[in-house]
Amino acid sequence: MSNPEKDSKLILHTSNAPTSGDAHISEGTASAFSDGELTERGVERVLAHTVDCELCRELVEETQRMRAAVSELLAASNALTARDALGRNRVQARVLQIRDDSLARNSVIDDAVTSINKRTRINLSRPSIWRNRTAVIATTGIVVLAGSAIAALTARNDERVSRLFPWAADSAVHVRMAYKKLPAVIITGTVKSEEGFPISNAAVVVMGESLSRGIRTDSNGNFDLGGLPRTAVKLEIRALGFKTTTIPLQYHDANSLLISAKLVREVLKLDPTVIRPVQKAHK
Amino acid sequence: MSDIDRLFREYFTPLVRYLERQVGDRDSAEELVQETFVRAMRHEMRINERAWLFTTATNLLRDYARRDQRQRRHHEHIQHEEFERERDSIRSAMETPADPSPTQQALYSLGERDRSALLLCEEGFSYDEIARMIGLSPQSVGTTLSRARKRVLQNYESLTRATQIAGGTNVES
Repeated sequence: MSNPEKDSKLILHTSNAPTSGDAHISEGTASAFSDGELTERGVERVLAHTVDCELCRELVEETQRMRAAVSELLAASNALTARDALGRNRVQARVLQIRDDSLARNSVIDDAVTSINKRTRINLSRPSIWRNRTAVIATTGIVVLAGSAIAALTARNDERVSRLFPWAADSAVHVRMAYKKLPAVIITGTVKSEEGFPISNAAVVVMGESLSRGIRTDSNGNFDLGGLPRTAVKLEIRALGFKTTTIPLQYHDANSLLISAKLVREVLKLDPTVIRPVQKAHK
Repeated sequence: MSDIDRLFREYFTPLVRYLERQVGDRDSAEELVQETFVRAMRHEMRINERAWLFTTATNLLRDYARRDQRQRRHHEHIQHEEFERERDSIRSAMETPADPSPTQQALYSLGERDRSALLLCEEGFSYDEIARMIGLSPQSVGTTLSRARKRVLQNYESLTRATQIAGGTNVES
């Protein structure tokens, strides 16, 4: 074999380069040939060369044999079963749960930030800052810390502070108001099927303006969502095998809501799992 | 939402298959797939989502392998008979084979990069994609694959021959 590295480059990547008909085929080229990775020109060259060169013909055939053998071996080693669809649903449910949880965490922060921002009239007009959560959290922290420090000082009627920061008393009050305004609603309830059986592990998601918080029902179908702002407008309940149900929330000045939901069954049709060997399309 | 559904429908099976071959057990594979999808949701979907998912899975795998190795080293430190016995009983209770199959062992004999190249090729990725995903030069993918295949087959054969001599009948066909 003459200079195999150069050969493979020639065939793989410079299709308009002149082909030297008598150059032998490299290991890499033989592999690319059997994987269908060669250009038309490359394939032609391999075919033309192997007519006369027994050595290269053997190499190509051996490479093709190995490729097939490894595929067969792998296919036999972990045969996929119907368990697959089951596993998929389980993992998907877990992923959605993780997303719901992180959405819930973030939305609580969002609410606090929006609320404090409104009250203290800080103008963070650049939207990029808001997209960066760390900046938002840090800003909130500073605002709250500064606010409460000043609040503490003004509360002691420290005149020096008032003289230095004439706006301080005002903003301290606002910061405290922002906290007072925060969540006051508790939503509890049960999720049952039409026949009255409790549904466990159903996802209950509260949604509203810049808000989305979720929780799962326990084994008795109960759920308990506390500390919700009144911006929550609807409740969405999802459970495997049941229709997703949305319930609008109306507070009427109440601080807690009791929800009892009945879910309608829905037959889930799973896609069939097709098992077949991987066949590569020829380029 | 429907996008997640679609991603799961299209890529769950190939990803689990790929990862199970890499790590050798289904549960760890599913765990890694889960993390892959969690990351997929946090990122804007990119142009080639299939390659993105497999690249992410491969990167997670590297962390997993490192962690696994550290754990194993830790276990060796605290290793005593009781621990061994306990683990064996748990294993038999779970009906998982204590030893990886010859195919799995043959795969483990490869370097991380070679194994990834081979398994990604099995999943139908092109040489160019494989090169980009695991940081090889496109020219060397063919040679890498060829050598990896040769090595897997050689190891597999010597392993199964050893089992046959030892009187084992449970040889994969």
